[in-house]
Amino acid sequence: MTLNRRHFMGTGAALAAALSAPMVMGQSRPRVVVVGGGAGGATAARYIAKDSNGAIDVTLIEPSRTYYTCWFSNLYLGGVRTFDSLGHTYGALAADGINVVHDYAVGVDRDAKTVSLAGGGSLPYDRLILSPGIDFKDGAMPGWDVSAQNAMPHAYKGGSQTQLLKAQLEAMPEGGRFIMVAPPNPYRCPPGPYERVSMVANYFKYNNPTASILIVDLKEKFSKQALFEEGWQRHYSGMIERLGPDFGGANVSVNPAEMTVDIDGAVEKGDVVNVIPAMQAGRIVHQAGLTEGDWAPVNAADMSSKMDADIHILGDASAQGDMPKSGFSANSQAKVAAMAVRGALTDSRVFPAKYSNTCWSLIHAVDQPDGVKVGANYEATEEKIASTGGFISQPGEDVGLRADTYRESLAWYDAITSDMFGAA
Amino acid sequence: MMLALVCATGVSAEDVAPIDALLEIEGDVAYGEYLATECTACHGGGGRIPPLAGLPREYMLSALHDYKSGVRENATMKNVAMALGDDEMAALAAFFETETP
Ligand SMILES: Cc1cc2nc3c(=O)[nH]c(=O)nc-3n(C[C@H](O)[C@H](O)[C@H](O)COP(=O)(O)OP(=O)(O)OC[C@H]3O[C@@H](n4cnc5c(N)ncnc54)[C@H](O)[C@@H]3O)c2cc1C
Ligand code: HEC
Repeated sequence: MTLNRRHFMGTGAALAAALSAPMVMGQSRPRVVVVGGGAGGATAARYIAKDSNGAIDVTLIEPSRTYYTCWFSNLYLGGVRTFDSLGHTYGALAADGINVVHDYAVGVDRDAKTVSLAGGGSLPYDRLILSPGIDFKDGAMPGWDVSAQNAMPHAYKGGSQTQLLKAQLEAMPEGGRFIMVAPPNPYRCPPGPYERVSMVANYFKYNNPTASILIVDLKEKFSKQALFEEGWQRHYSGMIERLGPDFGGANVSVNPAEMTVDIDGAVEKGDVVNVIPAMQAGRIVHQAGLTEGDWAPVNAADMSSKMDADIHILGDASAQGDMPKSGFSANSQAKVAAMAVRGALTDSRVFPAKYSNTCWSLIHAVDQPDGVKVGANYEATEEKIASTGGFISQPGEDVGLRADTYRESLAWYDAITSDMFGAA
Repeated sequence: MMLALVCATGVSAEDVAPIDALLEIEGDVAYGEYLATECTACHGGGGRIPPLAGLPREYMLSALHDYKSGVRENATMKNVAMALGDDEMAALAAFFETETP
């Protein structure tokens, strides 16, 4: 454990707390186990380890050796970002003193307070943090199950699915057709599907200009709709069509063998079909018995489960109130949980929870970057995480402001990924 | 709900505490360290978003003040500043000044 110089330069209070905590080798330190090394889990592990100066024993369980971000994966589809630039490893977290275990958690025994691993064995915890992200709901889209994801990728978890969709887009015949079946609410990253449409259109515009895009969408409206529709008109006129519920979209099924989508009896064939099915909290929170319906309800003050005070659930898997399911939100929630966990296990100070989120989307990239953003602040109420107000980009903004917004998002990507995974 | 309205329409300079009053408040560094965890989601990667570590207290306070009042225009930072009260700004300014760039 290397002590961080920064902390010795901090306040007397912080220093006193660090020294009063049990640091002697052999003496048992309080144990925190974190399941999932993504946006929420990596942040929580890093902040608990870093700010407790070794007073808390932190173990992070994550099957992958490299985490590929979903955020900016659409830019890779658009041809303006490499796949490698989306990858982050766990070396810096291990160097911070976190015990990184590449395994998969298969169960939680809440009475014994242990987590069991697919590789065998189990880990005891004083506090458990679950940030497993999402899984897809089986049978939610007739004709689609996880075995169909090679023919009709979702590309809604980072990594190989994103590469597969990219390869399919590149192999598409000239003048071919891309169909996206958009997900029902609630799902991770509300503007994500529509940023994806924008980036696929950006790719087509320069590589396959006669190709077309059909969005099949069961929702009445979607995130940043006015901004996306204005941008599609401006940059990709005539390329993108959206079938909403008013077109009879209430009844949608897919056929991966035929590469077709059936919309109330009208059969549409695609060269590439991107099905983003309905979502639910990652499996482990269901196994742990912490869900109500599809998601895991939490207390807004500290992200603790409403069913178990020793377990905190972060990010997409949680039902917390008004925050969108985003990487930014998961990172924000992790910092509140990390503070609460440190406060409970050592005697560090606890402050009122404060949350925020900003999500940028890129509508057009090449030559004329057109970025938009939406953001809000949140506070903890008895009932939920409640919005206290926010902002959104406006239609008709000038190109200079939109290009500047895109540059902000680039800086944000670098900042937030080092905030999660440590400086590379 | 009130806040949402204020945010959408922008506050006028008179609604924001004058900078002199802000400079008088002694910041709680430990509180500032906690509040700063929000900032590092955007600051610290270089590029378009400037670093904050080591910023003089006066500079930080006047920047936050100017984003909140709209003298400095940036929707992202305005939204950040809108959620900060005077004690929070003072705490952040006191904390970042202690950080090594
Ligand atoms: C196309 C797209 C674009 C997006 N763009 C943005 C954006 O611009 N900005 C933004 O803020 N957000 C964006 N998001 C959303 C963001 O990716 C998610 O909201 C965020 O990753 C959620 O964090 P999380 O910690 O809940 O889950 P994840 O980041 O998904 O992390 C979960 C981790 O847990 C691991 N795991 C799961 N189960 C187990 C288990 N049982 N044992 C051990 N490990 C397990 C997984 O391997 C994974 O690494 C986007 C998403 C998509 C799909
Ligand atoms: C959502 C992203 C985001 C977050 C979170 C954020 N900032 Fe910023 N910040 C920006 C951007 C973008 C700019 C550049 C704005 C401009 O051009 O004026 C900026 C600029 C600043 C500046 C001006 C710096 C200078 O050199 O003039 C200060 C000071 C600042 N931020 C403080 C903070 C503090 C303190 C926090 C945390 C409470 C914070 N910011 C959180 C995005 C963010």
